[in-house]
Amino acid sequence: MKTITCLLATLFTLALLSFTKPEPNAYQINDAARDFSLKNVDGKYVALKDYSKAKGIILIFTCNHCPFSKAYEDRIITLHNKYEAKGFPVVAINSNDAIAYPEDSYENMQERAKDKKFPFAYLHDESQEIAKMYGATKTPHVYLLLKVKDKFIVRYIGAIDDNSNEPELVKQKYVEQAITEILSGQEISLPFTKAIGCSIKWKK
Amino acid sequence: MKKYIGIVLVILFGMSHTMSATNKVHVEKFAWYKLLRNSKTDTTYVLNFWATWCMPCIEELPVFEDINKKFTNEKVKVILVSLDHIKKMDITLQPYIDKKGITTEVVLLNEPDFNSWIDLVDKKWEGSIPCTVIFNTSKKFYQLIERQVSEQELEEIIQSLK
Repeated sequence: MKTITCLLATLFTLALLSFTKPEPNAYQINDAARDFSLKNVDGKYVALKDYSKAKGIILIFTCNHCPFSKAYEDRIITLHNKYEAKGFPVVAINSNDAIAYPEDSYENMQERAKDKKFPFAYLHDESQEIAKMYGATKTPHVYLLLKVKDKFIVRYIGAIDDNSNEPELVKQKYVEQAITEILSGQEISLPFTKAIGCSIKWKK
Repeated sequence: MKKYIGIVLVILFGMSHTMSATNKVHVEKFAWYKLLRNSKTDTTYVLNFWATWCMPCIEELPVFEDINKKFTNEKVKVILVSLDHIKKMDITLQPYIDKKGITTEVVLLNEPDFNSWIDLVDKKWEGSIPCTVIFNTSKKFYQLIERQVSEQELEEIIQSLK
């Protein structure tokens, strides 16, 4: 009897687990990404369709507080400066619950963008709807979007490179490699990578 | 004078005592995890992937401390697998373990190329932490929980594997 009760409890926990997953319809490679309109640190709203001249977008879910996001800040700026001219600007989105992490509030985003002179849009996903729709789970989490006709198609999901803490030891720059392959008409050799990051904190 | 010597001796003894009681973090590579995961044993392993920079992980640590103490005389092994950077070992991780008086075994998994091993733990793991892996190879049990766990939940799983 005891075993059955335990088994039931375990099954119940498992059932609960499958319901509490925050990203039921996470984007896969080659899905069309839905557009959004989110408030930038300059107070203006930004949508994907505003990037009418871009070939694609390096969309990065990031935030202020996460040590990994901080470790990547300069590399994200470099990515934008290197690839905007080639048609791939960076768009950064912060989806974290500012109650759990006050450092990730809109005001603090504005401050960080100013301090670091972010050359790219840094958007506030206050409702967390966009992170959930894309299936972003952690920061930084990259979605490389390629414009095909009037749609933005997901071509790469994952990390920026293979070493978060030590930029000088990076061997593979996943995002750069994917863009280079797109630009030369090749298939993306590594369309999906994983990295440890700070989990996006969902609102209660 | 004698009094002072006495005090100094007490302090020295106290220091040596805490030093010997230190829960020393050991550094491992991914092979360590593979070996553990594939070992044929009836011990239930509870491995919690965490880091000192991860706030929800820190919040959750007392759960593993409690579980570790509760099942100390049973075939249950709780290990805190830190994903802190190796350079933080002596300046952040070990001091944190000492300050909090953590008694559960702590391993620093020194594998900075995350993409090379996350899928080898579990393809379903997105890479966020806290993340807990529970397994008992002789019972053919395995479960990955990519979020905070409650003590009750862990206890139920462990009990079910007895």
